[in-house]
Formats: sequence, structure tokens, C-alpha cells
Amino acid sequence: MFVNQLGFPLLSLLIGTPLVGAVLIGLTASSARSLQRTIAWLFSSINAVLAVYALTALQPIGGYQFVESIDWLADIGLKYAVGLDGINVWMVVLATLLTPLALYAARNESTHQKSFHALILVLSSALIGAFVATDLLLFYVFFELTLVPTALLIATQGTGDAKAAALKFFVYPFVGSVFMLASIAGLVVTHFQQTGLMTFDSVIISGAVLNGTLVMDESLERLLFAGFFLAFAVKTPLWPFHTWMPQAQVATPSNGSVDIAGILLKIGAYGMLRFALPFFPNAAVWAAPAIGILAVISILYSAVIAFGQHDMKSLLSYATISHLGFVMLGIFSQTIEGITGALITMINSGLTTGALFLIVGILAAQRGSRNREDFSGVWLTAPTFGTLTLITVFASIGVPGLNGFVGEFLSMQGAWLAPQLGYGYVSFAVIGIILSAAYLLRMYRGVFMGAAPEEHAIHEPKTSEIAVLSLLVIAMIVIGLYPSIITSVSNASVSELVRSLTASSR
Amino acid sequence: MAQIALPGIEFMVILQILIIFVSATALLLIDLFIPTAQKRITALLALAATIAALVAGPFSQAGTTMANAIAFGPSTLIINSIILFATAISILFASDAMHKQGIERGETYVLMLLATGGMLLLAQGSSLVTLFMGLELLSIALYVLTAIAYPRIASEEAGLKYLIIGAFGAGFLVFGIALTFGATGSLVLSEIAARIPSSGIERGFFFTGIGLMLVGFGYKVSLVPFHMWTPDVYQGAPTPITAFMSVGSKVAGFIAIIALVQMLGPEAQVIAPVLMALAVLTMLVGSVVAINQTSLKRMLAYSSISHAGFVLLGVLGSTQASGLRAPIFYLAAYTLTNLAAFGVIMSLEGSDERDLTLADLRGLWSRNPLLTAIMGLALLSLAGVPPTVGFLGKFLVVSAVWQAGYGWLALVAALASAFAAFFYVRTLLTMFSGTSDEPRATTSTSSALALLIVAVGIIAVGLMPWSISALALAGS
Repeated sequence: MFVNQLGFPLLSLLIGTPLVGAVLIGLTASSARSLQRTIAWLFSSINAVLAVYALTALQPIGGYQFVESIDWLADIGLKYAVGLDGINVWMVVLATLLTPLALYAARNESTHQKSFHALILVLSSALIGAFVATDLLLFYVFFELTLVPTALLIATQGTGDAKAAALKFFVYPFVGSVFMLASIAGLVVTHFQQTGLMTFDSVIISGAVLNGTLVMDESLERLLFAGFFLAFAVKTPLWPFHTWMPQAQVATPSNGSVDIAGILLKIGAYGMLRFALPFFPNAAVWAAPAIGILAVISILYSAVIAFGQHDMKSLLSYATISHLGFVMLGIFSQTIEGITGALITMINSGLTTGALFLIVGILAAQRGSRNREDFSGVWLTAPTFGTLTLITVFASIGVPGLNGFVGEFLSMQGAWLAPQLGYGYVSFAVIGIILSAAYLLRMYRGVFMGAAPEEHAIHEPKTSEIAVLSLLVIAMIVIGLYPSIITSVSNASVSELVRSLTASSR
Repeated sequence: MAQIALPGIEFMVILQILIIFVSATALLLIDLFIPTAQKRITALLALAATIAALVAGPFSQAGTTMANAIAFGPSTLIINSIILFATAISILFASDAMHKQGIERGETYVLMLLATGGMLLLAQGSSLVTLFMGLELLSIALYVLTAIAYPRIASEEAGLKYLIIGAFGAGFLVFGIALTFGATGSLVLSEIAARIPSSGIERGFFFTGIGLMLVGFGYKVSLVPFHMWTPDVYQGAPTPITAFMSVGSKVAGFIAIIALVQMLGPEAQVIAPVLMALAVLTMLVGSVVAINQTSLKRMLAYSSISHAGFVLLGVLGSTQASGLRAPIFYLAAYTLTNLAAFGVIMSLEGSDERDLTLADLRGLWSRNPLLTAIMGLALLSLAGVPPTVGFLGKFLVVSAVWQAGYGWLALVAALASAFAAFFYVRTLLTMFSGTSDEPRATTSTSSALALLIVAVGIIAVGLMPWSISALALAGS
């Protein structure tokens, strides 16, 4: 066993704390509702503190830190190996911070409070595991594990045709990922045949690709890349693999959707960045134009569909797909600007879309409807709420000075600079920003402006909810004004990644 | 007058087989004196015999005996352990369910022991005659067990169907053995391996013989297109018997197939295309047809067909360096998982013979969280979702087949698991959605114990695969 420089297993604690909380909740009586809330909140807060500690303790020098590595199945080289660098630390911070916020703001809408809290904690543990895993098969384990609690959340407490939505939610990404499993087997076996070393360690494998000890012929590389791409594209989701997502999101209990929108979808983009690119740099360059086109279609198509939605939750899920199009564009530019932009956009989408889902949850809980036409003049009766929502909407649109602008600008800059993409992609993608302003501002105008209705007036939400929203809004402003908060930590890792991509593509 | 020289018998090599057969014979007599209402005692005695045989495993001696007809080695040890474990769990299931449904008979347990003996013979057989004996013993016991729920029509019909199709399969096997013997002049696997004809009409006879034997065993492990009997028999047989045969005869049948492939050595390349075609068909047909099933037992029957295809991938992989680890690990995973799934179905069945459908699982979560959790684990493991044992099994066979140079088969396997995921997850989510007015399901102590053992196994072996992979590795 390898002990990291801290002398204690920080990352395993991050993975394990929510699990312990979930087990404790499982042991409580169903009626002990306040106890369950307290446990859930306590354990997720401990985790948030641990994540912030990890962020401050992380040296901005690139490479994995706080590494833990234990043999799991030694004779095939399988390890429990986790590590943190400037890229995944942000994913972990996002995941751990959003979980207690979501739980704190959770209303008592659920009759399944016990399973709700336990499943959210399990989900958070699996997410953190997927973000910190450096062993390929361990990543896959956590990647798949995220499906189980989420599908159960949707099935047990979702609304509408919850079972069908849960089934779609589970099966679509699962189908994508079994092809990734075949690709993992192919990659590991090819590495074994060429170097004599059986390992799933992503650092060793990408290192072998970089220094030329692992050379795949063109068709094999493209085939293996396709397996990874399929899994991550479905998960992201990228058009045309997105059809599972809006239905699942609409059926989700609104508290859970904060997490799902915020973080779950980022595993797809994260996996693309962390695994698909470094393992198959040539295939990634080869496929970039096609993937860029899919990303642009994603941006435009979902923006147009979002414009036509009456259900606000459905509107937001299309808006998320649209944002993730920018992330993909940034990632496949394979430039420092593009990848940094993609990283910031992922964080933004977690913050702003998370906040927007929370806002819709608050509105829906008071009015009993998510149809945007059922609301008007909310600003008059709830001005603080209205202000916070306006800032969030602006952040989502990408108004300069807020976080959304930084991420989208950098992604497009990267795409423009990339030889395999270019300005053609950017000129179409930019239309997406205009469209997002159109559908979000129209929603805002309809819901918050105009005359207050005689009945069903919306009140200011609870203080706890205002507090959560304010925290998210503060984060949006801070990132918008000082994006170097993120880049100072991520720069070394991102430039290391880009350097290796440029060096290893022939 | 010339003396007939009988070959010597090394009893320590056949220790486990011996324990099972002696106790089966003894139990047949003892059972006569056990009153009908107390047949649980017979079950306990049979369980004790199985556990004794299980414990005797590590004390057995490696080697061959009876003129090379029976062998024992490290890989036999783990296979025998899997078979005996499955028997023990199935006896626990049967003592509960058969009693509940009023179809309990002492012979059930004797027949289960005899079938187990047949499986052990298949696992340890190193001559074609032993393999045939093992297969026939196993099959005849299972024909009777399938029909043991007399006078239920479904059970009688299933038994008859199984008998006719099984006899058909046995015919192929005998012809195959005859041709192989004709071509090589030996029945012992190691001798045949040394005498594989390199050309001429004998080579044609030899591989025709091998092909016919594959068909014979293919019936037993339900490879497509020899699978037609499977759903009907699985559905008609009493559920504990279904659980028993779905794992036991599959493990034993595959061990025989593995023995044949190992015997061929490099010549296995000749039949590799046939195995590939069978694997592709079996995986795809099993998982696609299962989607359409509403009866849970039929669904699991098609699922077990699909899993047979995956094991065959592992067998194909075993022709190369990675050895027997992948197929053996997969069989162990499949045994744990299938026992859990059928065990839950059995616990949910009432005292009548009504076949459970998907709709009966609706809202099970609110009725019986423990059974739901175990079934959920089993379904996730069947679908190959981590961290269950099924996931690692699937990964091992996929990488073994890739290592053997058949990367495209890995893609077909991915496609088949994609189809299969749909009905496993659908079943899983059905249990969690909706509520149900039916009374809480109750589980008796013996099946609850058995279910807990397999459920813990699904997770524990999934998280700590070295616990059995070390054994499987020793056999490669």
C-alpha cells in the first residue's frame, strides 16, 4: 500500500463518509425524520469540509496528489487507486458542496424521506469515487454505480411515469458503458501484449501512449475510442444520444435533480477529458470535426427545443444539454483555452443550472405546477427571490461579469484556435448563446414580471432556501470576476494534459 | 485361465464422489423409516452429506485413478466446491418450498444427491465413458426431479419434454464418443490428445465426433440452437429444482466442454469457429427473447441461456494464455447470482403452482425490503453492474476473449449485455415502483439463511475477487 503525503487517506474518507451516513440512515426508524435529516446533512457537510481542505492542500503543480493505491485483484493488475489533481479537485468540490446545499434546501415534499436521504448520500459517494479514481476499472465501477441510486430515486419518488423514466435513465447510459467496458478490455489487453504489463492504471497507460511504448494501429485505436466515446456521449448527453435525459429529469423529485443536473452529467464530459483523450489522442483528433458538429447541433437543437417548452424543468434540462455542447467543443479543441473553458463551463453548469432547478422546485412547491404560463408577477410578491433568480438567469445566459461568460468564451476561443475545428464551429455555436438568452429571458419575463395574480401569489421562500441561493449566486459572481480562482489550481494539470496530447498525436 | 486384472482404486482421489454416492444410497434406505410429515430430516441428512463432501475437498488427493478414468486436481477442487455449494443451497431451498407446496418427498433429496454425484463425475471425469456416465446420471435424476410435483400437469409435461430432448442429446453424445474412439482407439482424454489424427478420413471422423459431443453437451448447458427445452422445463419444474438444475447442470456441462477443448490443445483452432458461432447465437438469442417474457421463471431461463454464451466466450479465451480463470470465475458468479434470483422467486410463490409474473413483483419493496434487496442484487449481478460478482465475471470473460484475439466477440458481448440490461433493470425497477396490497411475504428460516449466504457472496466475492480467483488461478 502506498501512503500519500498527508499521512491519512483523504480521498477514501471523501468516498467513505457519505456511505457511512447512508448506512446510519438505513439503521434509523422510518419515523425518525429529523434524525435522518440531521445525519444526512452532517455527513455531507463533513465531506464538504474535507473537499475544501483538499482544495487548499493541493499543490498547483500537476500530476496526481494524495494518491492511494492498494492491490485489488493483483494477478490481473487491478488496483484501488485514487488521486486528485487540478482538474478533478473542482469536480469533487462541486459534488460535495452541492450535496449539503441540496439537502438543506430540501422541502418535506417526500414521503420517502429515509430512502431519499440515504440514496442521495450513496450517489454522492459514487460520484466522488468516479471523479477521483485513477484506475480505469475502478472508475468504471463508480461510473456505473451512480446509475443505481439515481434510478431508484426516480422510480420510488419520481412523478408521472416514473418507472419508464427510471428505466430509460438506467438503460441508455448502461448500454453506452458496456461498449466502454469492451474497449477497456481491449485497451488493457493491447497494453499487456505490447509491454508485458497487465494494468488498469490510467497514468501508466496514458504514459505508454505518450512515450510510444503502446502503439495501436489506426483502426484499433478508432474502434476502442468509439467505445469510450459512446459511453461518455450518452452520459453527457450529446445530441443525438440525449433522448433519455429530459424525460428522466422531469420525473425526478426536484431536490434530487439539483444533484443530477449539477454533477452527474459532468462525469461524461469528465471521462472524455480524463480518459478518452489521453488514451486515444490520434483518434480524438480524427473524430474532432464530427464531434464538433454534434456539439454544435446539441447547442442549437436543444436551445430551439427549450424555447418551445412549457414545463420549466423540461426547459432547463434542454438548457443543460445546450451548455454541455460548449463543454464538448472546448474539450475536443484540445487546447489549453478550450479545456479550461470546458472545465469552467462544467462548474458553471453545476452552479447555475443547479440553482435554476432549485428555483423551479420552490416555485412548483408553492403553486403545484411547473408550467411557466401558470405564473406571473412573482417579483412583486417576492423581490429577493426575483433578484437572485435574475442574477442566476444572467449567469446562465453568459452575461460578462458572471461565471457563464468566462466558460463559454474560453471554450469558443479554444475551438477557434484549434486546427481541427476552427471559426466555422464557433460562428454557429454563438447563435446558441443568443437563443439561450431568448428562452431564459422569456421564461423570466413571463414568471417574474407582469401583474401579480389575484390568487396563487408566490411568497418569498424560506430563509434556508434564500441562503442556499445566495451562496450559489455569490459563487457565480466570484467566478465571473476572478476566474483565476479556478485556473490557478487547474492550470498546471490542464497544460500538462494538453502537452501530452500534442506530443502523442502523430 | 488368464486373470482379469482390475485397475487399482485410489480412494482419496474420488473421496468427494464417494461420500455423495454412499450417502445417497444410505439415505434411500433411511428415508423409508422417516415418517411423511418429517421429511425435513431427510433434507438435513442430505445437507450434512453435501457439507461433508464439501469439507472433504481439500483433503482429497490430486491424481488419477481407475485406469485414468477419474482425475482430481486444483481446478477440480474449485469446480466441485461450486457444485456442492449449489447443492447445499438448493437443498435448503427445497426443504422449505416443497414442504410449503405440499409436494415434499424424501426421494427429492436422494435424487438431488445422485444428480450431484453425476455432476462431480463430469467434473472429475478424464475419460469419455466417465463423462457419459456423469451426464446420464445427472440427467436421469433431473428428469425425475422435474416431474416430482406429481400430479401437477406443468411439472409432468416439463419432465417428459426434458426426458425426450435429453435422450436426443445423449444420442449425439454416444455417437460422438463412438466416432472419436474409432478415430483414436482410446477413451482416455490424455491418450486421445496424443493421438489426434493429423490427416485422412480419421481426422474427419475425429472432428465429427468432437462436434457431435459438443452438440450433446450443448443440450445440457442450453446453447442456442439446442436450447428449446430450457424455458419450458425451467417454468414447469418446482422452483428449487429449477434453481438446482440451472446452476448445477450448467457448471458440470461446461466443465465437460472445457475438458474437451483442453484435450484438443492447439487443434482447438479447428472448432473455434463453431464455438464462436454458438457463443454469438446463444448470447444474442437469449438476451433478446428474454425481453418479451412476462413469466419470471421463463425470463430467467432465457437469461441463463444468454449467460451460457458468455461462459462459452470464457472457454474460447481459455484456448489462449489466460487459462481457465475467466470461465470458472464466471460460472461461480453465475451460480451465486442465479441461486439468489430463483431463491427469491421461490420465497414469493404461494402454496399453489401459479407461475409468478413480472406484475407480481410490483411494489415488493413496500412488502418485503429484504427480499427486494436480495433480488435487486441478483438482477444487478446478472446484468453485470459493479460492484457485484457478475460484473467482474463479465469483465474477465470479455478480456479473456480479447486476449485470445477475438476482439469482435467482445463487441457482440457488449451488445448482448445491452439488450439484457433492459429486462433486468425493468424487473428491478418494477419492485421499487408502486405499492401493493398483498400481504407481507414471509420467508422460512432455512431459505432465509440460504438467501443471505448467496447475497453476501454476490457482494463479497465482487469486492474481494481474490477469495475465489486464487483458487481458479491455481487451476490454470
